[in-house]
Formats: sequence, structure tokens, C-alpha cells
Amino acid sequence: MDKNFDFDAIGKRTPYRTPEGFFERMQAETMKRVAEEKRKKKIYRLKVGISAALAIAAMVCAFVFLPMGQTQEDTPTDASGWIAQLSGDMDPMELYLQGLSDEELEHWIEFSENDIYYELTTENLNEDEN
Amino acid sequence: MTDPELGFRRLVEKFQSPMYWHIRRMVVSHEDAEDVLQETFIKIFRHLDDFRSESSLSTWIYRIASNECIRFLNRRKEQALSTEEVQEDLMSKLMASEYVDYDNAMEVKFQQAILTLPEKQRLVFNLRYYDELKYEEISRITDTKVETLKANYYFAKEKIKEYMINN
Repeated sequence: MDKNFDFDAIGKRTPYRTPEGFFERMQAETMKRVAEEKRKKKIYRLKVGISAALAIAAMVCAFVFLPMGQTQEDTPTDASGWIAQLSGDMDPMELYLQGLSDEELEHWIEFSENDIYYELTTENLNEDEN
Repeated sequence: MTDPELGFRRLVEKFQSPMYWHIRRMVVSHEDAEDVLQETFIKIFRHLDDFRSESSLSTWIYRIASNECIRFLNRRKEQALSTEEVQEDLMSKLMASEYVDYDNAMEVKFQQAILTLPEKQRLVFNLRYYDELKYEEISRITDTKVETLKANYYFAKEKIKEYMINN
């Protein structure tokens, strides 16, 4: 063998081969997995959306049912008083949002922008406040 | 098909071949390369929103693919295999594969020589020699200084040369 091995003699050739039609099949499989990933993401968003809607519903229920059984002195007369009492001077929505991670918050924003029923719920909440 | 999906399909079309060969040279077996390549594209899809144009898309993709290769090889080490045993395992895969052409002995021997290099050196050699990436790009892919990469490449070539002459 020549003492000065010449890399150019081999160049970029390798002995590696692939099965026939490999790249076409690979692309189809990758896109199939990507579609699965998207489906998983959608389910996650839906779960977050449902949790958010349930949380809002729970808050609305609290507004409606909590005054019962309380004395006149510790019962606030308006909705803002209730909000302050429930959350320690913090808007319940703000309190709820503070508990979310960045990713959940991102999903929540997207969800609340696109969900007509959710918009109605938040509108109701605002009406209650007024 | 939605636009982001169409965009991703184009990305797969453009990068699947160079990424497959990059991964194959690192993990040797076709079946392993196929798995690592698919994981690479799923990671790319998941993190496409995180891509910042500070580096080129190609550099970013090479970085993900290289990390997946190292992760794959490290998993073998977690299965109680030493670095030498992983190297031997790769060598045996090279010598007994349905998807290796043994007709050209010199090409096979050249790959054997590359497999004698330490993992990181092998990665640097492959990126420079086969993919012809600039040292600055390899630096961004491997988080290594350009001077260190140049030394790595030089020593890798010397070792390969020595192997090719003496074996």
C-alpha cells in the first residue's frame, strides 16, 4: 500500500445501500407520524379547553350558590365584592390564569379566541359583574 | 392538506436524503438509521416554532440529527456496553449487513477506518469530509470551537490514513 494514502482515490463513495423505494416509503411514514402528532396535539388542546370551561362553570356556580347561609354583614352586596372575597382581592379569571403553565396559557388563548361558547361564558361573567 | 403540512412535506423531501446518509454513517445499520431519521423529523416537526434564523435551517436540522445519533449511541452504552463494545458492535454491523455492498473492499475498509475514530471525532470527520460543511457550521452543530474542530479533523485524517496503510 502506498505510504501516502490518497483520500481522493475513495472520495465520497461509501458501500452503504438502501432498499429500493426507501425514500418514498420513508417520506410517507414520516408524514403519517406527523399527522398522528397533530392529532395528539388537538386532543391535548381539547382537554385544556374542557378544563378551562369547567373551571369557568365552577366559578359561575360559586357566584350563584355561595351567598346562601351567610349573614348580612359578611355578604357583599355586589359581584365585585364577591370576587374580592373569593380570591382575596384578585379577579378569579386572573387567579385561574396565574395557575396555568406557558404552554397551557398559549392553548387557552387560542381556544378562547376560537370558541363561541367560551366567549359567551366570559361575556356572562362580565354581565354578572356589572 | 394544510399549508404547514405542505411546508413540512417539502422540508422532508429536501432533507431526508442528506440526513439519512449523515445518520447512516454514524449508526451504520440501515434499520437503525431509519429509526433515528424518523425521530429526527418528528423532533423537527415538534420544535419548528422554536427555530430561530440565527443559524441556517440546514445547520439546525444537522444539529438535531447529530444529537439524535449521539443519543442513539449513548442508549447502547446505557445497555451496559462500553465505548469499545459499541464500536465493535458498529463494526460487526458494517461487516454483516444486507445493505452494504462488499464488492468494493476499499470502500468497506475506509468505513472500518472511520469507525475506529472516537464518536465526536467521527462526527466532525463526517460533517467535514462527506457533507463539506464549513468549520463555522460544524461549530454551531457541535458547540465546539473552530480551532478544536480543525485539530479534530486533522487527527481523524491521520488515523484513517494510518489504518488504510497498515491494514
